[in-house]
Amino acid sequence: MDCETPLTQMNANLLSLQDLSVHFAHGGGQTCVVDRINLDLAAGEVLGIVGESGSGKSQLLFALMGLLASNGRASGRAVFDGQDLISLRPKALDQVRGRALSMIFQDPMTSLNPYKRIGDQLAEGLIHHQGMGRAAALAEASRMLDRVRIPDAARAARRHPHEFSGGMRQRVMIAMALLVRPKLLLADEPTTALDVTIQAQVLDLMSEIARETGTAIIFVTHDLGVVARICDRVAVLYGGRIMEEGPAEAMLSVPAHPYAKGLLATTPRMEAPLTPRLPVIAGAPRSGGAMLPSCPFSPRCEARMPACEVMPDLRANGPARRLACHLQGGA
Amino acid sequence: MTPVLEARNLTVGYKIPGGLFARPAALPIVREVNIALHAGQTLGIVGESGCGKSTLGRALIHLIAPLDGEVLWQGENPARLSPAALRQKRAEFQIIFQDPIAALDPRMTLGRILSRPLATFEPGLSAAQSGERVAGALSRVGLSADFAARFPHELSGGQAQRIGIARAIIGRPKVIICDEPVSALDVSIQAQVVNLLMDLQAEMGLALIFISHNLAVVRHISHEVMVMCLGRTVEQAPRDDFYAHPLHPYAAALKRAMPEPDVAAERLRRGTSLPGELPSIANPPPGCVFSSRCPQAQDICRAQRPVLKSYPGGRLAACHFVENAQESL
Amino acid sequence: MQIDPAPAQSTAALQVRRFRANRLAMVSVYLLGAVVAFCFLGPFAFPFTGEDADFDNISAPMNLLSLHPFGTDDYGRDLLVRVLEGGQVSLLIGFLGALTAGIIGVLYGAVSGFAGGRTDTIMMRAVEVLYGFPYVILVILLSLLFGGGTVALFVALVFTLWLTPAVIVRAQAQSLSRREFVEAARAGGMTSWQIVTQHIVPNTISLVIVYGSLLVPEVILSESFLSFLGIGIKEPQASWGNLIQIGTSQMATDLRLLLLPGTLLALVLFCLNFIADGLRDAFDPNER
Repeated sequence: MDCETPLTQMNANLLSLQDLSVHFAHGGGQTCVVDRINLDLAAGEVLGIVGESGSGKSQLLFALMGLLASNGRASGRAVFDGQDLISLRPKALDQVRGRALSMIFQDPMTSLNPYKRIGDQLAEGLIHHQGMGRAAALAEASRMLDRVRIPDAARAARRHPHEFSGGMRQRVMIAMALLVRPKLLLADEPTTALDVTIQAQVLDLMSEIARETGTAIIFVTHDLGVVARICDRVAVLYGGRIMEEGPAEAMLSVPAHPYAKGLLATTPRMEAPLTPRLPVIAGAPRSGGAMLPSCPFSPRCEARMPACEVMPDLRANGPARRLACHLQGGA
Repeated sequence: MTPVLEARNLTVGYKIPGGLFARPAALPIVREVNIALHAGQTLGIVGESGCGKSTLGRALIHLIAPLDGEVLWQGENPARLSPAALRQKRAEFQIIFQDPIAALDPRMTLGRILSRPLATFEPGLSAAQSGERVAGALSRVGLSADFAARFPHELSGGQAQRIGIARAIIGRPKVIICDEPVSALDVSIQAQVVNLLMDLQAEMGLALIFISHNLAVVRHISHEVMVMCLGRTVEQAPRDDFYAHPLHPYAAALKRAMPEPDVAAERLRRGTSLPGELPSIANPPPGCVFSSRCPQAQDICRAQRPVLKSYPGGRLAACHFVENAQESL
Repeated sequence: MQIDPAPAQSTAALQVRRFRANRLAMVSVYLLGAVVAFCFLGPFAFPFTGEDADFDNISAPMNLLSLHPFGTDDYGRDLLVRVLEGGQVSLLIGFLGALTAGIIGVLYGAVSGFAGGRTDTIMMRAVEVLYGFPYVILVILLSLLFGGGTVALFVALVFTLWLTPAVIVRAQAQSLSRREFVEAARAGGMTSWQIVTQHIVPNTISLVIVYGSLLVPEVILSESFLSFLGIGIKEPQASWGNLIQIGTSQMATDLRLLLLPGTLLALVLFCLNFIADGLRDAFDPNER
């Protein structure tokens, strides 16, 4: 099916994160929100990054796009298509963003100008980055609106953002992101604000696009159900670190890390047998703070042991899977 | 036995101000809803944004007066109570909100937020007694008594929702309207809050209205499920029957759209999303509210609105083709 | 399992700390305090008041070491003491006027915004009508009614100045009344008046303090302006406004009576504006 990618393509990584960290400076202190992430992404692959608030999942995307707040700093390397995004100068990064990399957000209105027609906003990038003529750019824009299944695209291009529903705005955002024919699309909870049936439409659209255009997607979400529907592979983040990573199917059927297990168990389902109480993970997600030497999940972990005072490395654990836990092989 | 909370033919909406001299127009958001809720029971209300579920929740505890029909609190219509009697009676009909931080006055300590309702509901309490009740409510929702001196902005979302629950239970309520109480919380915190609500229900014999867009959460806490679409009930059924096979095509579509953390099942659901969007509530179609998106829609669905009919097993559904809908699932 | 809280920190304490960190605003607070103290305590250092004429020293020149450090005017009245006493009037009218206008405006706006619907429409139309009323004419009418002087001026100032805080607070109250904690308060059995006074008004306080600190200079300026035109504070009572007015008429020959009250007035206005800036930053750190 759609998740089968030729082996040769798998080997050539489109994106390779090497010890990527993000720090925020504030009031004399420093908070580490993303901590030495190592992760590879193949062309055409859909990778889910799952985590709760404070896991650093959104900041990871912002770091790749060069969109960190002014007191944020990324370190390490993020090699995309042969170039290190972290050390690129703003102008060069802008070129990458205009040609091969784009991002969509949870709230589409943050990136749409409320005073401009949709068609003009879409065409703008094409005229600016690719030197297209205005008429050609507008035609391309409405072709792309049609591509994301916006009904009556030519007419829609003449409307303003507020005339669209939330689901339609997110389609416009996807169209805008696709205009640059990206090799990689970064998606930050793009369906969280949408209704369930509209979310299903947008997820269908995104997996179709990934399949047909070979665009790789990093899909940040808190919802394991969304991961199951759209992702080939998934990395579970907690406290800025990868806890476990592997193929979505294997990870969701037999998670190995205590946090991944807990997260899966605590997610309510419609098909599983009912229990009198929902399984819980005690405590609350970590909210910022200094970098710890210990495993960030250890304060909430039921399988905690003395060794957890030192953060375990992310090591291979079975086929194509990696795990960062002292209980190697799983809890 | 009299239901603890009842809605009869309830229509709720907003008055659109018509200017200084013009007459205000009425825009119904919820139409002709019937509910009977007994002590210790949970009714889950499911629907997408704009379906009127939050408006209904507020009308059930008389924060919004109905345009038509009536709400009954243990057989008594709150609209007919004197203002003073209504305020006293509110102790028994409480609400918790989706955004737990916004539901707390940022300038009050949590102790004051919790003791304020007691000042109205039980004016005879001494300061010491009221302090004891606050500490008791805090401990009941799993927070230490030290929280009484804190301010809302110091709380995490989960802690704030516990405070919201403590405020709701401090006057010893019979019914709590839970308006999307876990939607804004982290997954690992959602389960804690759902469990807390279920524990409180068992302990205090609470009746709950659990409003949510998340069918999976609703399944865990509800005894009965009601699906709303554009202000109307389209299906109502006991929990297990509903999840086994929803009768209304809209309910079935909602269930299919809900992603579950199961890759094999989800692969089958890829590409099955229904196209189109629901019409606006201000401008409902003449026929069935779901007719514009329904894969089984016939001419009659677009022309004539189906009424809510009874089906075996105490179920209700509003569809011209319930039998067909069942077959196609 | 019980959850223990993090250490307490009230919003108000945070705001005070942020304000204290603002150098310019803190310097302004001290300077303003010094001017106020100087105006109210200074005259006690002299054996006469600003209205006592010293016939031995009519039109005395400036001599910092004499009994009249800045000299006297044509009637032999001590200039410095007159300016300080004028300052008392201007500052009192400024702060009391802003306070009264603020209180009326906050209550009116809070009720209007919270009530909504027709009540709100009628209350706000009333404000618009009053806005349209020419204010100099109002002062003249009120002076006729009260026989002129401080009371008429005060009433006229309050009458025109409560409108803007009312509109500002109404907008805030409107958005607050849609907040969930107000719904929770109604479910908690509070009456509308209790909600307005206990939830709405306290939550508009930061806004009102910021606006109020801008209102004080506005009142002082209006007072000066009206007195300057001759329809405010009347001789022999002094205010910075009428002193400056006399000062301008003698500007060609003698700058003292223009510069002394003028400098103090400018100083107070600067201080109040910096304090207002500081307050706004302290209350809304995200505004900028």
